Amino acid sequence: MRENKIKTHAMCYILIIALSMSGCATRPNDNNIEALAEYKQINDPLEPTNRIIFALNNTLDNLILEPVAKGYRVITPSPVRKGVDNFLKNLSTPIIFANDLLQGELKRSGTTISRFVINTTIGILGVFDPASEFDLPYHHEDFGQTLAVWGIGEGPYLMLPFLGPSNPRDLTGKIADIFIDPMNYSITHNDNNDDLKCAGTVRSILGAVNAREKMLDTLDDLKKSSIDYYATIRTLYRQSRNNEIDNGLSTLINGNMNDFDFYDNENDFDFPNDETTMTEE
Amino acid sequence: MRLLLSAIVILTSVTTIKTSNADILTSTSSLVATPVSDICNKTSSKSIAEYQVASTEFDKEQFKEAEDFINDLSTKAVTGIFSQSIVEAKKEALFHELFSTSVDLDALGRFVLGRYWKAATHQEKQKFLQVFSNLTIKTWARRFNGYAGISVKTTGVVPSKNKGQLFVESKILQGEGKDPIIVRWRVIKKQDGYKVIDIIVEGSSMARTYRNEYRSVIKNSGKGVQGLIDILQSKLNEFENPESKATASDEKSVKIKTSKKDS
Repeated sequence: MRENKIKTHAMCYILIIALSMSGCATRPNDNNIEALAEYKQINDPLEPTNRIIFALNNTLDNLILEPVAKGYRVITPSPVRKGVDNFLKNLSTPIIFANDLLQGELKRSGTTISRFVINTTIGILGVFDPASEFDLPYHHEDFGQTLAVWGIGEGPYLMLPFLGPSNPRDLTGKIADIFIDPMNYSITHNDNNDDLKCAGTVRSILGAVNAREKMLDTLDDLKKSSIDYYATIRTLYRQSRNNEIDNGLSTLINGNMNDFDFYDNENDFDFPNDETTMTEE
Repeated sequence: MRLLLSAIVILTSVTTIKTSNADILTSTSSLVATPVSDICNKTSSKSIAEYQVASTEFDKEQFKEAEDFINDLSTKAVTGIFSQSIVEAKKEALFHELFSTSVDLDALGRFVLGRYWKAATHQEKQKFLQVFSNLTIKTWARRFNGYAGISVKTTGVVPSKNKGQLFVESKILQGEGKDPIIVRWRVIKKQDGYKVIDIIVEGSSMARTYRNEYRSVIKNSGKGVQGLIDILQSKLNEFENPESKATASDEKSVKIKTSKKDS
């Protein structure tokens, strides 16, 4: 028993030492303009540490989440999964609605609330999505996106244990969304109510399995075809976040149309803007 | 059962609160709908057509040409590659042909390698383009299983700020119960017509993703572009012969054994 305790302590220390030793990516020399531009653009100073956490997350995913998501796909027919997805989306209405308003998107907040009313009633507690048929399509918002709209930069790339890719802005957003959510509020304010707690836990687990099931094919394909899975996930996370922030118009009307520079000009040391890193703007 | 009940209780309580709020909100939003929402909905409510700003470089005729090019390309893909009636082996050959005739590989390769393109030797550039296109064809051909029944519809054209380039926007309809996917094609006007240089699926660019990945591989391999070519080549071998990975590692272990014997 005692030996076990010592073992776990030792493991923890080894992990902490490994993480702190791995430290930071080396910043290139100031004279190397291109290398420095690239370093700033990748914006991942904690890369060595992030890679370790990414590997741990992947191991956990392979052992637990992915098999569970695969099992969920096997035992449920597609309409049931669609129903679960609709139900969970409907439950997140308060977060979407609050962030629509915080971003000043009045029309979209109207869509969100109309969807909620229609889907909760005609759609039987949100299991069905008749609102989409009425030309009220679903959209996602969160506080990370709100902060971006308010002009706050994303900061360096972060790989969070268990939660996956993020950055200081999106992490702050995630925490804020927990407070915005009325379900969490009612759980913390009725701490004797086990049913509420249980419902909250079920929702979280179901949310994770549902999200992972939807990603099964994409992630499986990326894992097999990429030669640097970490770098692929890093760029895809940023690109899809920017797409969400701009509500789907990122490649058309923002500055990153200039990025297709073919290096025809030998004197052209201007590194094309690859990802819209908010910090650089 | 208790759980289900509690879930329903929570839901109904939330519903009642929200519906009362909703009435107020829908009425307020309808009051301010026209003037304010125009200001507030900076991007979301505008259609792509509104961004078709006057371009000195392109005229309407050329917009049409680019759109026709993508329509033609996607029709060929849908009827040829995605169709279930065509044999697997023939699909890859068809895609190979489509890829080599409609993608500007040189431009894509330059973009993907970025600053490393300039540093690479002529041989490295040629070898990279060859391995890169073979691998891209292999990976994409693998993805086409299960795409049967989709249809592609172009929805508009926008000029790029880059010389000679346009974006063609299209919607991929996946059929019943699935959300359409927005795909933007970055095309470049060449002497022999339009060529694709990037495919942007729901805001994620293929070219940028490759560029970020390859850049990282070049840096970590420590052997420049040649290091990247080696890794791409071994990935390609792995796809062409799924057992080669196992045999390669076997060979390694054999080598170690023999070297031990030698010593």
